[in-house]
Amino acid sequence: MSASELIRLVAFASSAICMGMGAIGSAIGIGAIGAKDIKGSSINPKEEGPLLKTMLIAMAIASTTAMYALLVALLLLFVIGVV
Amino acid sequence: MNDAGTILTRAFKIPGTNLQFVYNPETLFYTWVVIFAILIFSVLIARTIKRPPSRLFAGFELLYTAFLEMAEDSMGPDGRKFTPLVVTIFLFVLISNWLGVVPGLMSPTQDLNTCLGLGLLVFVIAHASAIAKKGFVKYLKSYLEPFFLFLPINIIGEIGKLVSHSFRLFGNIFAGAIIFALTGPVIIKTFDAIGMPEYAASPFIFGAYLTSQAFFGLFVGTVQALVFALLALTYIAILREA
Repeated sequence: MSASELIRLVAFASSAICMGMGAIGSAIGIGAIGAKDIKGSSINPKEEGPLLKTMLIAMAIASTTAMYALLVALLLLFVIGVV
Repeated sequence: MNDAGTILTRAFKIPGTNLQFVYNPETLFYTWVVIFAILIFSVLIARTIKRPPSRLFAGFELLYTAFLEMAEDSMGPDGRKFTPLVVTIFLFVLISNWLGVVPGLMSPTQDLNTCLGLGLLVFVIAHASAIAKKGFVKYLKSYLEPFFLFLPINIIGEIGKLVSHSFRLFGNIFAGAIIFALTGPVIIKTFDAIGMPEYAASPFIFGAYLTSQAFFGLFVGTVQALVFALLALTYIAILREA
């Protein structure tokens, strides 16, 4: 195995690991937000509409960390993996 | 498949100097497409101001009033000044995100330069309005809150706001664009590999493909445009208050 093949192998493997591990935290966060939203809207069904809007925004913010992991993974794939 | 993540870039040397002028022609072109789309939309709406209001006008007024209420909730009567800015950012980002759903077109927001430009715009406006409202000395003093050792943390926090604001939009739209570019070839290659290439064009597979496009383009695009506009409003409001 030549050096550039080894670099590509490590880049592909580490991008997969990066994406998988990076998604854990934001998945837990999004799940917690959804659970609390269901709880809130079942206690107070009149507030379901405003709660849905707030929930979507909070979920989008919680997924930011996964986005950083995705960016690192894409950099590994397209910048290092292609060379 | 490797060209899914690349963006066309051109550069030319300014004659007589050593400077290079770098530009992305596709991004520029689609940015102007979005600008003209918003212009035509606004002119059409402005022409239909009458009593009783037309359906298009009433819909736009609903959108504007929703943002006006949110702005007045977060900064009081001053919110009225910033609502046009926030609604403009929302419309620009929304139409940019939706442009990427059409096959062959590209969202301007899948280029980091557009997102970083919008983020910098909000950053500069937030700080300038804070200086204008509180005065320069009081603005500088707000960096020493709660006491002087927090100065580096506050500065890093401001830069972190800018970075996370623009990278969130870029990451979502870029990931959507990559998924658009990859799903078609991956479906065809998978059916080739299992020896049934004729099933790749079945209505079920085509429906799944279109659903993924609609989810990543329309739904994620709308939510991210809303998040971007609301965070712009929040950043301006926080700096004006603290």
